[in-house]
Amino acid sequence: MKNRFIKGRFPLFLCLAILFISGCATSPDRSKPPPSSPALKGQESGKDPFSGLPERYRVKARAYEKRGDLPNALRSWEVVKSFVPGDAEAERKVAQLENQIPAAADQHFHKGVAFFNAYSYALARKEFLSALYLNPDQAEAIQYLKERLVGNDFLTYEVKKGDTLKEVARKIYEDPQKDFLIAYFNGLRVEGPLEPPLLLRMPVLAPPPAKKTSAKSEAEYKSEMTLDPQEVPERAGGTDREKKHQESTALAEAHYLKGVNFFVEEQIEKAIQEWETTLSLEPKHPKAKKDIETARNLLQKLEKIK
Amino acid sequence: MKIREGILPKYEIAAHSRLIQGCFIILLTLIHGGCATFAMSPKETARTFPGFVAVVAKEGDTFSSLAAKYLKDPSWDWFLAEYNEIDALKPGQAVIIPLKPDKKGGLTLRGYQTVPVLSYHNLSLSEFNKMTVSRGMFEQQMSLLKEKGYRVISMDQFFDFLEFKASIPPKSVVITIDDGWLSAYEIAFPILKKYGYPATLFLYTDIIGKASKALSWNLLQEMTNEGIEVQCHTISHRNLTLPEKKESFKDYFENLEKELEGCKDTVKQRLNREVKYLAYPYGDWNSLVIETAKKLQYRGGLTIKRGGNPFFGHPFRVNRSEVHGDFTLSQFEKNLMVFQEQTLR
Repeated sequence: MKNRFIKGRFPLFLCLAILFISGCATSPDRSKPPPSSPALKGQESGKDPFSGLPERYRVKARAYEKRGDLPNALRSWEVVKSFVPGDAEAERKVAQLENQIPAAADQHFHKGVAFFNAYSYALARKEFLSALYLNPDQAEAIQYLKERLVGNDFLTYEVKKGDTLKEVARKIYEDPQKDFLIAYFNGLRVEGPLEPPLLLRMPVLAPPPAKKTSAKSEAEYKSEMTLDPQEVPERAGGTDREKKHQESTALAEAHYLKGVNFFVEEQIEKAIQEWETTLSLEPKHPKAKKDIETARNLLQKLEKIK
Repeated sequence: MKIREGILPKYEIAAHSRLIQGCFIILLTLIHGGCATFAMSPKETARTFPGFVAVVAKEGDTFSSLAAKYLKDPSWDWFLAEYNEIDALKPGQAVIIPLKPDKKGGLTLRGYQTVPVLSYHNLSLSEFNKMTVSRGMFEQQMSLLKEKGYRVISMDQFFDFLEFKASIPPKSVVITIDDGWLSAYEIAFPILKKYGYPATLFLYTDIIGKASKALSWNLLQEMTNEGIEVQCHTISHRNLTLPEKKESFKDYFENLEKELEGCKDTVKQRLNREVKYLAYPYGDWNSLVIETAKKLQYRGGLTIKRGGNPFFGHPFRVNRSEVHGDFTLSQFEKNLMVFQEQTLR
């Protein structure tokens, strides 16, 4: 009797076991929330943990709209609409903002262009930024902000029949000898022909009003970093020591000659800096030390004369 | 056999009937209890919608862990905090995680984000002067960045922001160290590692491995293996905007090209790293320098004009603020300009 009872319910027990094993029963994954959390207590007691979200986002959406923050308002209404399908207000607002935002972005963009054309660059920038805030994919606003409002470092020239690079260089730079520059920036050969239609791009050569703001002079850079080739191999792991020494000797000689040029041009302080660099590269340089002494004596004499 | 044939169908009918009833009861119980996925579960902690996920924070969850889980990148933590308008996550708190987080250019209705790029040169154990920052002060400055919630980002992240390609945390800062002083390894590097900050070294290659106070290629290799980037400050640190005396324009231009290309090639050869950025010696640039750098595939150029950088700034005229050794902490902090107010409506 007992056997028959078990045998009769075997499929039922099997079904229960499968359900249990397949994880439909409480799994360790869904761990109990910490008792300290009231919200999780709410969850335990069966309350929907997201029940407060739609109203919270409805309030947020209205506040964003009031502030004129349309993209954030739209995102908030979308949250409400997703949580409460069929919510009339959310559906209406989403549809309305989806139309309103691109239209407002376009409006800002066109205002920006009008300001730009009227040389009111600060106002133009503000309008382009507003357009981008509303629509980050507004490519033309990006182009105005990043290119047209900043100014170009290059010029363009449309080749005409009979033009040569020398002729273009003469027209653009007032110097036909700068033809190599146009060739370089346009991937052309200097001797090669120019055939229209061709748009040449070349750098502006007028210096921009860049103010020198470095707190350190060129001479300081040269003198501060004491050079000593003897110490290099230890840090560099002791490889190709000889090659490094040769490089450093050559560099020392280059600085020495630079110093001589400065000295000849009566730029005594610059000459001293160069020779000091020479000495730090090549402490046993045959002339640098003596030349520094001579130059310092000369400087002292000049000081006295003044 | 006959007897069995007569009994079995009756038994099977009864057994099947009980089975169907049992299963039906189980199913109803399960549905009622919320075990089926389509029903609202009291234990549910996340719900996915088109474009976002709603999540109830569990004990131990942080914005960073949620960003790692749902956005596959823990560094988007700042975005989740900002989107939900909360500073810290509490267990049981329901938050929204947009699945395509984006805030390019750091634009808000109140204005736009700017990124300060700090420029250091030499560091020393205790001495300081205009171009040399003491170790103690450097440590204090790095600590201040952490305490006040600044995020140090890499040069690539900064340029993604500049090119309007990606969003970065609202208080982002970039750290650069110029020239190739040995102190970048001995003093700055351990402190940067301690705080987990990336930094970019701008080297002039002539000096590397040749001067007692300069870095070697071996040390640079070690640094690049641990998050320090190496970029170019030319070969010889000459002023790129000024032809030297007796240098023809053609020679000047050829030398300019060599300064930019040679530095790039040397770093590539020595460290197997691509150079993308150029710090102009003395901060001086002109259009010829910029166009040459562009031609040689540089992505950007950095000046030493003080100020933050908005996304619409020129990528070859990046502002950089020199940190002087005689700065107080508050003077240092004044260089951390991360937002420009401008009502956008």
